Amino acid sequence: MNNLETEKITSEITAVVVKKPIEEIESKMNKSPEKSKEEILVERQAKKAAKQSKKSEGGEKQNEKSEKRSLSSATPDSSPLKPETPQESKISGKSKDQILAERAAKNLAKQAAKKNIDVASPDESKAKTPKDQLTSDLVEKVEKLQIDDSGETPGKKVLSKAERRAIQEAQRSAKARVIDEKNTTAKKIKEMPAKRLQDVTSKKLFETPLKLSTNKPSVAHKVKLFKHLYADKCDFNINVNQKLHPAIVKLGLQYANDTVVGSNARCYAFLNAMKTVSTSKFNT
Amino acid sequence: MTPPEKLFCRGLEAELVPAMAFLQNCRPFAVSMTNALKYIKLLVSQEDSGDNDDDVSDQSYY
Repeated sequence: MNNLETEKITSEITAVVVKKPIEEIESKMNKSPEKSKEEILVERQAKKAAKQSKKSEGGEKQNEKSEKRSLSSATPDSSPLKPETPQESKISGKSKDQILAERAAKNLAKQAAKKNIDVASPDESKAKTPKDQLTSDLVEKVEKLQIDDSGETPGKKVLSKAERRAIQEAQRSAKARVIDEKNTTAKKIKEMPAKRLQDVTSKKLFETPLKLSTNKPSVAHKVKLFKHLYADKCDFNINVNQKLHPAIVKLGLQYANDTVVGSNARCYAFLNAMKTVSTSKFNT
Repeated sequence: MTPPEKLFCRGLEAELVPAMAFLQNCRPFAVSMTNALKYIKLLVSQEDSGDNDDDVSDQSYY
């Protein structure tokens, strides 16, 4: 019974599922015969032409203004392209080559527009506001400064040699002065009374041996593996504080006094001590 | 059991720790000694409040 019911349900679902897409396709087909591929392309071209016409109107205005102001040669190359391209788009369908050419032309136009704006700005500033006049003055001053710097470089070279000579002479004089001062100090030392000299020398003699002794620390062993062997100093005072088993204390003394030497021997002695500790624990 | 503590293994462990520190101070442990110590600690932890002689017999390495 269940199987039959499921089969009925699945058949109904498939019918519904299958019907819907078919209906959709039929609806589209009913609408589509009016439109054809060619008509769709024409509509697309018309939309694109409308968009470009809007753009070209704004672009043409900018080009006109730039032509009136500037006298540069960059514009005539780019301006004819712009009015041509929208006309071409309106007339015929587009191809990839045409699209690429249009893009290149647009880029050139943008660059030219930027140049035109840069060239147009100083001309405008002189005519219009005092702030712009200041900027233009500053620009002129910068240019003058650059020219001056370029002119001064050869002069600097000539001066530098003389300056170097002067500097060298000054250094020599300074050195001579320093040497003279040293000589004077040496003379002063010689002039000092003999007692003071003896005191100074004695102090120095006493100081040097102490420094020597302190400078050299007791380096027992430089190799890190063996440092522990030389650095150990067993503090047996600790044993007094703690309550260690006498067997362990004995073992420790044997280790420190080198009576038990070697890892195997030490381990054996250690185990014996543990044995005695565990057995003697009964006694507490 | 002469020691008053019920858990003898704990008492042994407690005594073992300072003893090891003292021995290390006298002479650093060898690798064999560290392994033996670990084994002893394991035996002590596994103890079930039995006689100590059993532990000692287990420790016999000779």
